Amino acid sequence: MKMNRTLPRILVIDDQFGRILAGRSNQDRADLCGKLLLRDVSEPSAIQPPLKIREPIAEAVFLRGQKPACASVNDVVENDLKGTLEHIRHNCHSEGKSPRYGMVLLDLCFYQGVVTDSDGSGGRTPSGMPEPSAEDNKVSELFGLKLLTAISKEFPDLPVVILSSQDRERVKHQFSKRAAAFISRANGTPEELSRYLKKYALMEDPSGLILGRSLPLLKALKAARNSVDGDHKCHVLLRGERGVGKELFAKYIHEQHPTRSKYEFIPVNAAKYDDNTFDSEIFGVKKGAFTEVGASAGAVSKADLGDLFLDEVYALKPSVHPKLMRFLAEGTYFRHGDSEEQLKANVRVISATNANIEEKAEAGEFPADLLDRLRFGGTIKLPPLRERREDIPLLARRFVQRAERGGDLQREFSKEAMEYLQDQAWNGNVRDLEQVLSKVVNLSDVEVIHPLHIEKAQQEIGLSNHERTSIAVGEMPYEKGELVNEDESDPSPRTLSLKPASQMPFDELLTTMRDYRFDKLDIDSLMNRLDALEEAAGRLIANYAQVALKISKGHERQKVSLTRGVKFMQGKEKLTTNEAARVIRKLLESNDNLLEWTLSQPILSEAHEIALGGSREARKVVEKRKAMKEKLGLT
Amino acid sequence: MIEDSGVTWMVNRDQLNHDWLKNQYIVALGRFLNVVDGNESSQKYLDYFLNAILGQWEIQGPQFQKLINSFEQSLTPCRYFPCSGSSIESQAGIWLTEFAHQMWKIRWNVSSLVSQALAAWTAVNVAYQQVIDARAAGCTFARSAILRREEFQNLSDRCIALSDALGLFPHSQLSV
Repeated sequence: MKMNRTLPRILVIDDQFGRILAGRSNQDRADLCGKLLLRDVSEPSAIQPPLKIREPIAEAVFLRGQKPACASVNDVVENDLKGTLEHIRHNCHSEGKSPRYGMVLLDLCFYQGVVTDSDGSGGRTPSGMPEPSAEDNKVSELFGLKLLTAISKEFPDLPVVILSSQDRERVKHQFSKRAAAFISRANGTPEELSRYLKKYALMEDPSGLILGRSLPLLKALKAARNSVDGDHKCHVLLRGERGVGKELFAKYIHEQHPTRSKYEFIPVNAAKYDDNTFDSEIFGVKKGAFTEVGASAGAVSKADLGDLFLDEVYALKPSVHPKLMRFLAEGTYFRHGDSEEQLKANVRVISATNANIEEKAEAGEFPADLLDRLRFGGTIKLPPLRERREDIPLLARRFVQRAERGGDLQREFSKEAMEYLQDQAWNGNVRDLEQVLSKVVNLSDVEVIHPLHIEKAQQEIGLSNHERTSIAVGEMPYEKGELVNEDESDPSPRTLSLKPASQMPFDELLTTMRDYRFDKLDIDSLMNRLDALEEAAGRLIANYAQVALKISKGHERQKVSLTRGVKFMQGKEKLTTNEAARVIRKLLESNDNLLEWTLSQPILSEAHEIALGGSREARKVVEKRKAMKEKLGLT
Repeated sequence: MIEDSGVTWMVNRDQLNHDWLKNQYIVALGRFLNVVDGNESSQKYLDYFLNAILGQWEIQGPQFQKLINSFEQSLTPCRYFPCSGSSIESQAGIWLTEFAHQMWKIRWNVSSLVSQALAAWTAVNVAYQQVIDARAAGCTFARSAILRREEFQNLSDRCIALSDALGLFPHSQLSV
């Protein structure tokens, strides 16, 4: 996939490199850009012609920090604290706006006074600058330190790295409280600057997978980059509401690691499994552990040297806690059905949950020692969309483009539409935004999207305008739609969204299913989805069968009639009982997850039982059903 | 107003070490090495550096030697003797001046600072000469610069060492 690389942007405040020379290029600035591999994007640029740097590590805006920025012989140059802060303020470092600069490189010593002819110093003092004075260079008088204090006070989230030719030892006590690091102009290298950018700067995701440049998002990305550690015990916990993109963040953390990124990233949804299936899915199965079952590698084995993404970790069944705990602490495990051969894997676990897991641990509802292991390498809180509204225009354009799938019509947003989007609550976060805009594209063949198009889409998928429908768990009657709750183990009342398909006319559903295209989705959202897709398709058909069988009963006390139900579905007039049984079995036995779900649906369960009859051939399925029922406590 | 030789020495050091060596010459050398490594494509800069920047050492280099050698004389507390209106007898004044100077030298390890800086300066001269000798390799200077990258890297490293050595000299008046 082609990466749309976004370079971080830094502000360089330096009297020598920031000065503008009348009618000619600032050679010193060009040399610094060439040395540290920076692309000068100052306006106007003082480098002519622009440098041809093959792989710049950052874009740089240069500022003198003094007035006038362009000084000639006999001009008086003065430090300009107010103007410098004003420049930063104007470039979006205020609350609610996206920061334009990811980091500041700050000089310490700024020469003030009258500009003299540089030939007077034998060409040592750069032209357009005053000669040095002992006063400017006194540590107590360094203008860079005054600027540092002011920047860190007004813009506490803006990281500052000192870029100076002063001796570090001489000034370290003065800058170390407020500046992140120190780069020597003489010794500094692009590698060193890159390292500091990665560690301290507010940077977008250069791959563009995680879209946005709001301060809360950039801070979360920075925390994600800093969670990178070589130790396999440095597991990371991601906390955030549903739909904020936890898996994308986990992938981002994976890709930041110098070695783990070369190995596998294995995503597993903990809510999907019960004790046994989780055990075998995560740790693998020993050959012969079950009849006719061969050995299979678990997720930890596949993720060896890489990362395992354990989503919805709070939904894990308590019986698997000890085994997971041991694996997190020691990296050792036994495969399912094996208690002899201890295996080892070097896996970092990136777990995620939308539950307040810390509170649950305090209340004794989740083991505190397991939580400590899960967050050994840190907890990263991912911001909800309502805290990063300035990212909505960027996301909205991306989602509309994605939904257009390269079609001829390219939609734009009216100003009001964008304001409308930014005004919404978005309880379901980025995922809801994408869902709504995808619907807008499906419904509206218009060049310009207006608020009414978005409102219509929201209504179609069950979201009211301005404020999203808020429904507490348990309040929603079945007929009105199926609740989507990512963390079903979290019983606290909160808002949920409705599945749009439940309100969709049947023909429209068929069209959507037939025409749904996967080729425009990004690779990450497609990966590892076959099981989920099969299950969803199976559930849809089983739900259809359920309604048909319900109708076939006539009234509550009557038994389910397979032939009547299947005839209803197929529109046939003649059908034998055996044929109907075969159809029902074919529909309900397509995969184990579906079969298990069927058991919790009285009509389907009854129909399946009838369909199995007493045939010898169906004995295995009967056994399987029995085991599932026992597990579910339905016996 | 009488000019203090200590302040003058420090301003000279700032001009030579801070303004020229660190902020211009070493930065330009760093860019040159990046061009040689192909991180920036600019044949023009290779030529510009070799013709206009590199040779600046021949002009500024001797100034460093002068600066280092003048340190002891410029910063010594002797410059405060004899004070105007002093009641110290002339013989006692000579003795006290010499005593203060020696105490100051020992206290601040002046001989070692100076010898280290001169050694660093000599090392730059040697590295510079090796780079200049590259001209004699029989091909263009730019071509030989690419072939002999390590010698340019060495020159850069030696310059950094010299600037570090100069940074060890005091930044304020030293008391005995």
